[in-house]
Amino acid sequence: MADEPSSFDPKPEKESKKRFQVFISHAREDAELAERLCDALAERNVTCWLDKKKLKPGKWKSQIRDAIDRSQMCLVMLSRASEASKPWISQEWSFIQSSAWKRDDLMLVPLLLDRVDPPTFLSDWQTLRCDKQATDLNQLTTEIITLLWGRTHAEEKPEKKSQAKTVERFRKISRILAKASGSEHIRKEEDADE
Amino acid sequence: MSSSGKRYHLGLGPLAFPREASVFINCPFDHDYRPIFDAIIFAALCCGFLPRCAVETGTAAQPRMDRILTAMRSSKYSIHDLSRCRGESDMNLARFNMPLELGMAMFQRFSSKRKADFHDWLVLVPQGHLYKRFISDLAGFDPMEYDGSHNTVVPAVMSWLATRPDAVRTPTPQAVLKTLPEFAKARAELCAVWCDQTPWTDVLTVGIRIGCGAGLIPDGVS
Repeated sequence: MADEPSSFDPKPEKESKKRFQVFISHAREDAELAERLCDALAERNVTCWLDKKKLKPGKWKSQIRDAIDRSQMCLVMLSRASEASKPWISQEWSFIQSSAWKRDDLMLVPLLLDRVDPPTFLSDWQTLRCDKQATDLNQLTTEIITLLWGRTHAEEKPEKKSQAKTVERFRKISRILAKASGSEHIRKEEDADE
Repeated sequence: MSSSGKRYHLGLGPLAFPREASVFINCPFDHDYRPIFDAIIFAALCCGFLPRCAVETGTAAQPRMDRILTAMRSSKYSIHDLSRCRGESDMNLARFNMPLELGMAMFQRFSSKRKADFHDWLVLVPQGHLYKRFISDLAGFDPMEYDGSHNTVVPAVMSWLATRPDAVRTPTPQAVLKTLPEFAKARAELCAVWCDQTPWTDVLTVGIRIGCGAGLIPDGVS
């Protein structure tokens, strides 16, 4: 279920001649659900790029970059298994972020499978949720298609959420640099300690 | 140095900084590499990470390995540029400092049992680099390739940092690249004043000031 259900009334996909491609990014542990979702979307005329189905032997990095560049949406499945420190996920997320920086028409969609927080680079985007054990993916595919059509018709990027965390981070950096450059603050702290 | 004569290391004691917001930069420090080094520092700063490196304590009387270990241990992330790992000059010698420090970072990751000690890294290599032939143990941790210019190293560094769990909001690489010449110019001026011995914190302070001025870093921070 979407966090903020869109009020957009999606155009029935059968009325459309436009073909969409969705790039699905997932951890190996979530491959089974990714494949079922890919099949469910294919039934509704949406092509998915899924490594298991499309990746050919050879230069995998360029294949993934090309697939992302040709997609209108990157669906990023997030679970306890999808950690940025895993080399494959790390590379894929970097490619997705790079492409999103270059293209205004690329939509990123975090799909939460567990109770995890989306990474910051996805936090501006509307979140979808899905139970890993879900057998009926009809509602989820409808939400994805709604987003695809909504994005196509609405040119605006999602509204930015609060930048409080970012501001706080930079304040910390500035404070530490000010302390390190001069010794005033350190003196005061040492005096207080004594 | 403080009033009591104690010398504090960036990241320790009163100068402690959150490990998850620190990134250790492992790269050459020579003049030829300076434009790339500047680009990496500025990109990391604009992503909200405090760059740390072996030269951050200047010529302090502390063994180099100690300084590297201190900076690396207090950084959750590290960036390693292996582009100089090939024969150079008449002797055709390769530099092994970078792979050595990458090995230290890898050890930190694989030896840490506590989540709080976890370490993650990015390896940079030039396009077409034959790293797989001489450092095959990297298999599975594919390095990010760049063409040896700041135009490609900035997106490579930023796309990695922006997707870490501890990332904050970042500007686009295009915006950072647009402002990079200003940072490089200011850094060159600092180097001239300090005869190439610019205090590390001064370099970063200039980066923050220029980032704020260009709107890459939120208002009211510096």
